[in-house]
Amino acid sequence: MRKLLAAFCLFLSPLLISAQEQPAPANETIDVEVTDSQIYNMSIDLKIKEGDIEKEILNGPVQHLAVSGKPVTLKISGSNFKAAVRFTLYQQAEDTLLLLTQSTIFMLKEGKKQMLSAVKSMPIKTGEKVLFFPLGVFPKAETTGYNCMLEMDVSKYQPRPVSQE
Amino acid sequence: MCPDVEILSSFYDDELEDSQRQIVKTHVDSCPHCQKKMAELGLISAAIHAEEEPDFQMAKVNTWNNIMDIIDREEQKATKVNFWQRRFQISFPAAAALVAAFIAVLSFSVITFYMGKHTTSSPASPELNMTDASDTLLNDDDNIFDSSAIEFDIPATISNFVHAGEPLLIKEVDFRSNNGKK
Repeated sequence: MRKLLAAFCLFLSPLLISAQEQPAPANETIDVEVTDSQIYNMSIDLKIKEGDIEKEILNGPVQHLAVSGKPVTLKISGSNFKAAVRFTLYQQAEDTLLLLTQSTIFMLKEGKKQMLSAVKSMPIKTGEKVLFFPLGVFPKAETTGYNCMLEMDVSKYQPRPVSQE
Repeated sequence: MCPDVEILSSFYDDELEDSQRQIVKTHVDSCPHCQKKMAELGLISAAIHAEEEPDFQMAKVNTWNNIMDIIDREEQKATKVNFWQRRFQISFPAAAALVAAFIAVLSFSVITFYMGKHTTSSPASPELNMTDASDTLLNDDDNIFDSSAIEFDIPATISNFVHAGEPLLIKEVDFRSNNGKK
């Protein structure tokens, strides 16, 4: 019986060792106190442009809470491209923010795969609408093909909804 | 008439019945020849007892011990079985627990292995076959940045997106005014 148990433990030991060797989860919980003034409400809407014509893809903008310094990631999947866009807001003053955008685009162009990445930043104020074109902007003359546009509105976080009476 | 040597020997060993012993005793007491025979029998008996080995009992004990040792060794040989030929006895609950534990560990290992190797990813549109790089990098973003990414899936009916150039970040006011749509 003891030999059988010893053999069983020997069988289990590699599994236990391999389980112990697995890396610890990267997202460990860290308690960080975030004040309401560091939280912003991001309203993001994706629109498709064909020339000057804008089409809304969704019924309405997506609402997302953003913390100063913490990126908000968007993934856009189109027929011939995929894009990962990260918006990061940095609080600078009472109403002034620095908006940082990082975009990584994978695109099929003339049968070839392309990866394009870029970083843009701009100071904004809360309540200002901002547009982001991950694929760039068409020259005015060109009308063929589609382009996508992210329309974003940043406002201060309201912890308690104001009654609309 | 003297009794023969066998009767005298039996008399000497006190093996005769009472009636015979009395007759022989009466004769021996009165017969010098028989007394001489009795004396010879006494000498023979003394010689026999004198020649008996003093350690006979010890020899018997030693011999018996040797025999017992041999028997023990033979029994040990008979009971000693090779490790791989031994038969183990295990109770049913213990065996069931071992089997259950084995199955649980095996299942956990297999599930963990497959969960680690095959991460689910959003299906790419059929026209865009870039699973080798784009999916990997986009999924890596989940680990590096916010895992709760907002996803926009553009319908396949809208195709032919064009890369017009460098990404543009602009305030709406400025963009509309530049395009004469303010």
